Amino acid sequence: MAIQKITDVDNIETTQEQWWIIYNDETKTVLEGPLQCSGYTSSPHIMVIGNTEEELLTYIEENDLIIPNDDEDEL
Amino acid sequence: MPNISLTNPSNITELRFNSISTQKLGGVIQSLDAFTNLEEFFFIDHELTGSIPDISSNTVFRELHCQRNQLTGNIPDLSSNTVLEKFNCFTNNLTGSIPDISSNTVLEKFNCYENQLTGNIPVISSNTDLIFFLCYDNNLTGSIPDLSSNTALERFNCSVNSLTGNIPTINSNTALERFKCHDNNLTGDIPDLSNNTNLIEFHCFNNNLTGYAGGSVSPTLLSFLAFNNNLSISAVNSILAAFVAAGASGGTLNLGVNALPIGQGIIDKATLISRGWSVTTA
Repeated sequence: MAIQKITDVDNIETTQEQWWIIYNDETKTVLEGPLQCSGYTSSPHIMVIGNTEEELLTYIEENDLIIPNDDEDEL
Repeated sequence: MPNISLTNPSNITELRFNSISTQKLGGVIQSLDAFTNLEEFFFIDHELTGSIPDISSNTVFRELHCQRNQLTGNIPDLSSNTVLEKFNCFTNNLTGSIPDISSNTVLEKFNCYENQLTGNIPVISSNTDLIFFLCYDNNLTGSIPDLSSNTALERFNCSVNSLTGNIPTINSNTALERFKCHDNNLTGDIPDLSNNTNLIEFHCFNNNLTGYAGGSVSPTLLSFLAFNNNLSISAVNSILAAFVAAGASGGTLNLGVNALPIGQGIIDKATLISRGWSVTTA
């Protein structure tokens, strides 16, 4: 299955096997994921679903999305 | 690569080896014994190998920054470094256990994430100035220690280890902004977060947590990820209710792979979605 990009995230069902992210299209920031978690998701943001973590990491890179890590300390 | 040696090392209080992408320094730090007045040591993002040298004679040492190298071996004994404020050795290949840091009473940052450390997280109750304790992505075991004395703590991250036991009470940690303990084997309840009025992120997914101690959550808490646990219906409903009561907009709440919300929980989920939250439930 190819990557699915869902812009109307209204009670979207995911399975335990699928990987997904939620990202804010304005800030290009990943809010959640990539993660594997079954359930029903609603969001005002964009959801992208794939089969593997690598697919999503590629999507993140190709679309210049940012995964924030506030626990990367420097000094 | 030439050896670096310095004359009159006892006069030096600060050593910085700045990294340029094409000119990284390699090799082993032989000894810092002669640098008896050394306070700060920066050797960030190079290709250092070998172990962190013994710094027991560097008693005025305040800051050690050796992140992003290829250091191996154990973290040395830090008990003589009583004025140590910052210990940054993340993203190396360090092994062994985290040493006793009870003598380091002015320690503000202890960041050893992304290594291969084993053993328990030490007692940190005497580290009352501690602001950052980041030891994620290691092989740590045992439980999360008592944090009740660490009232200055802003970030605690021990995720992606093999920790067991309960998440401790964090009622005293009122400065806490980010608490992450995901991807462990933790059991028991998600603690009461009602005193954590500065909390922004709480991530406890991929554990075996079963309950929620209850209480309110701060409107600052905008990222709460607790999926892949064993949270009960009561816990899931209580968490949804707490976020509705907090009144914030636009956060992220993931309670998937737990019990299904029922009754008021379903209404609360809809309320959060109407406030611009991203919400996942089973």
